[in-house]
Amino acid sequence: MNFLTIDAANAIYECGGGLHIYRHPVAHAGFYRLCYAINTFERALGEAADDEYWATFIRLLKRYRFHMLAAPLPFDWQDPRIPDLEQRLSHHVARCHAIYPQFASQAHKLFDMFRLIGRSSDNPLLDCFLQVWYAQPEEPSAILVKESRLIPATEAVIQSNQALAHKRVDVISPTQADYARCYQQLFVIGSVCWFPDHIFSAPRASTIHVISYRWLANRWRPEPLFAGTPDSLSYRSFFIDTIPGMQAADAEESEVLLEPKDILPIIDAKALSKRLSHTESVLNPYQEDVPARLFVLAGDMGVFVEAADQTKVLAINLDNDDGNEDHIQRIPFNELTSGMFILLRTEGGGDYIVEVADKLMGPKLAQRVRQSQIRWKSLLRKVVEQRGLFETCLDLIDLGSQLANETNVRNWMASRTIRPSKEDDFRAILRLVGLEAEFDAYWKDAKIILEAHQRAGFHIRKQLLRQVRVSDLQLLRKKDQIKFVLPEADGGSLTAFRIEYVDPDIVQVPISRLGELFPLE
Amino acid sequence: MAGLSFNIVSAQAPLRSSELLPLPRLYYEHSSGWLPLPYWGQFFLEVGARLARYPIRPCRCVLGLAVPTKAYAAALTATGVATSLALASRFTPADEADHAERLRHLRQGTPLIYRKGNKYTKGVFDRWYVENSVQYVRLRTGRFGNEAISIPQGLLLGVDILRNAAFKLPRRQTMRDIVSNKELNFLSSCLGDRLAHEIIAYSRLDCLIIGSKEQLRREACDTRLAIKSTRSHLIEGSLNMLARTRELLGDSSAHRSAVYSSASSNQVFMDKPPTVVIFNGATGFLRCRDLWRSSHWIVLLDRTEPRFQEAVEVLNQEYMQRADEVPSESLPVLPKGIEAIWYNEAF
Repeated sequence: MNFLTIDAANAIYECGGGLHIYRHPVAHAGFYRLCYAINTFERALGEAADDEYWATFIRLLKRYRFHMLAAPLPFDWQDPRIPDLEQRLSHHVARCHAIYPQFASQAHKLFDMFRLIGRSSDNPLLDCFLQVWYAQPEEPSAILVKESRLIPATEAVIQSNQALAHKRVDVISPTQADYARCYQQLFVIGSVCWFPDHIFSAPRASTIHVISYRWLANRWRPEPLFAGTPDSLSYRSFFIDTIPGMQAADAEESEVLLEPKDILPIIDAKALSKRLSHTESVLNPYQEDVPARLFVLAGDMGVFVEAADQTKVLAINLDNDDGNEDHIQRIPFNELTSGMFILLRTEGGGDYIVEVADKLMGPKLAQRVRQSQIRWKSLLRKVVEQRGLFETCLDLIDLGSQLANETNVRNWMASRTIRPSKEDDFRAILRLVGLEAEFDAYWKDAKIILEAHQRAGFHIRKQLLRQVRVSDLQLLRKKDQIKFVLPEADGGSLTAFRIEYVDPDIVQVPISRLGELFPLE
Repeated sequence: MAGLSFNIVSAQAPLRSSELLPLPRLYYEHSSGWLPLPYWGQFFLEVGARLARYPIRPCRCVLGLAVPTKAYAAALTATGVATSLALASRFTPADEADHAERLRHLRQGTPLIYRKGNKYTKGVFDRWYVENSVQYVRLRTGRFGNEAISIPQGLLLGVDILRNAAFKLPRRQTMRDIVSNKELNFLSSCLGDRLAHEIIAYSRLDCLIIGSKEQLRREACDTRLAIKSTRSHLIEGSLNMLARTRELLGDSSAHRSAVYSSASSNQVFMDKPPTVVIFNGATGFLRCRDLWRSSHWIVLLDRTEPRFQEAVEVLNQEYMQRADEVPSESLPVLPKGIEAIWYNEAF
C-alpha cells in the first residue's frame, strides 16, 4: 500500500465527512431508441439468440452500447479492438435474409439505427461533464470509468478538448485508482451500481458527480455493513441531489429504464470452457479436464487457473495488507482479486518453472529424474484406464494409501504434480504399478525434482523482484500489463496482467489450457 | 437544497481527555506548522485504550471497524493499548515470580539482556541461585567468563531473553543507554518519569498487530509527532516510542507490542496471549482469525481493500455467535466514514 502522511489520511476522512453526490441525468433520444431496440430485438430472437450468428451480432451491438454508456466517448468512436464495426454488422445483416428471413426486417431496422448513431459525432456525456466542469472548474478532478480499457480513449477525448488540455483531470477506473489520492471532484460515468461501494462510502473526493443517461437505472442506497447496526445510517453523512437548472429531467414516462447489470458485457466462463474443451478434444482426445476458475484480464484476455486447494499463483499485489513486504507473492487461487497482477509466461513457451528447474539440475540428472517420474505416472495412468478411477482408489487404499480419492489420484497422474506428499501414498502407488522394490530410488528422484522446483521458484522470484524493484510502482498501477524480460532465461519473459474480474464459477477445463492466455472475443 | 439527505452526526468535537489514556494531546507536522491530531486519530488512540482495559473474562470483546483508509489506524490503536496498559497494569511481585520461574529454566548460554533505568547490558545466562533466601540470576557479560553480574530478585523483570541468534558477547562491556535522552524526554513528558523508565526496561506483550511491518514502520517510526510541554515548547517523538513494537525497536529496548505478518510462517514468540490483537486489514484477519481467540480483537478493515466485503461477512457471521452486545456508549463517537461492530464473545 502507499504510504500516507497524516495530512493525506486526514484529507480522506474529510472527503467522507461532507460528501455531496450530484446526479446528472443525460438525454439523447436517438441513442435511447438504439439501446432499447437492442433489448427488444434480443427478446424477439428467443432461442435463436443463442445461435452463434445472432450471438455475435448482439454481442457487438451490446459492446458498443456499453462503451457509449460507460465513457464520455463520441458516438462515432472506433473501438481499436473491434475495427470496422459498421462494416462487420453490415456484412452480418446482409446474410440475414438467407438464414433467418423472419428476423431480417427487424435486424435491418436495428442496424439502420446503429448506423445513424454510429456516424454521429455527438458526445452527450462529455457535454454534460463540460457543463458541470465549467460551473466549478476545481482541480484536481478525476473521471471514473467502469473499465480500464476505456481510459486511453477517454483521455484522448479530454486532451483533444482545448478547455481541458492543460487541466489536471485524471481518468481512472476502480481497479486502477490510487486510493491514497484525493480529488476535489470525482465524475462517475454510468450507473452507480457498476462501481464498488467504497467509491461512495469511502470517497476520495468531497463532491461526486454521477453522469449517466437518464434511462439507465441509478438506484443506490447505502446499507449498513455490519449486523446489529441500526438502519438509521446516521454515521454516514452525504447528500444525493441534482443541481437545479443544470441537467435534463429524469427519464420520461415513455422511456423504459435499463437495468445496469444487463448492460455489462457478459463473460460466460462455461461457454469459454466448452469452447476450449471442444478444441482440445479434437487435438488430444485423452486429455483430462480439471476444475478451473476464469480470470478476466485487462485487454480482453482471459486465463483459466486450476481450482485446487494447493494451487498458488505468482502474482503482484500492490495493495498487500498481509504483512508481506514483497509485492510478488505466490497467492492461493481463491485469494486472487481484481486489481492484482497475475504473472504469465508470454515468451519462451512451456512451463517456466520446469525449464529453470531442469537447468538447475543439469541436463543429465534432469533427464534421468524426469524419466523416472514419467515412468511411474504412465504406469499409474494405464492402471486407471484399465480399472477406472474409483477402483484404482480402492486398490490404493488397500495397499496403504491414506489420501487416495478420485481428485488426488487425478492430481498424482498429472504431470504438474511431482509426487504425493505422503510417503504412504507414494509407496501404495509404486506397489500398485509393480515398482515397490525401487521405492527408495523413485522417492529420491521425486525429492530431487521437488527441490529443483523450489529452487527454480526462488530463482524466478529473485529475478522478478529485481525487475520490479527498478520499476516505478506508481506507473505499474496505471498500466494494464507489464512485461518483465528475464535476462537469465534465454530471452524468456513474463507478463503481469491486471485482473479485471474473477468469475465465481468453477468449470472444467482441459489441463493443457491452464495458465494459457486467450482472447475473450 | 432539496433531495435525499442523511443526518450528520456531530462527531468532530474533541474528545475529553480520558482517564484510560494517560497521554497529552498529540500534534503532527503539517506544511503550515504543527497541528493537533485530528479527531479520527484521537478516536483510534481512545479505542485502543478503552478496549485494553475492558475485562477479558468472562467474555472477550471483538471490535470491527470499517475505515475509509487504514493509514495510522493500527499504529494509533496500538499506542492507545500500550499506554493505557502501562498505566493500568503495573508489574506486580507475582509477575516477577512468573518471570523468575521462566529464567530459572533457561539453558546455560542463552543470550540475555539486563535493563535498569535507562541502561542495559547484554550477557548470557550462567546460572540461577538462591542466597540468603533471595533468588539471583547470574549473567556472564564478558567473552572470557571473567565478567559477570548477579541480578537479585526485585530487579529480575529487567532481564529479558534476546531473540537474536547471532548474538556474540563482547570482550568486555559497560552499561549503555537504552534510549536517547530525546526519546526519554518525550516518554517522560507523556507518561511521567516512573512509567517512562518502566516501559523502556520491562517487556510485556500487551498488543499484537497482524499486518505490514513496513507500513507500521513508516507510520509509527518515521512520522514525527509532538506534545506541548508545560512551557508550550514542542517535544518531538513518534508513536512507536509509546507503542514500543518489538520488531521496530533495537533489541536494547523493552517492548509492549509486536507485529506479525499473516504471510509469515515464523512463530510469534510470546509467553502468554496478548491482551489485544489488532488485525490491520482484511487478509490478515481472514488468514489468522482462528488464532489468538483468548485476546480482545480490533479488526481494522479498509473499505478499498479487495477482500473487504469477505471480511465483513465473516465478522457478521461471528457476531451471530456473540455472548452479548457491548453498550454503545462504551465506544467513543465514531468519526464520519467509520462503521463499527462491537460485541462480546464467550470463551
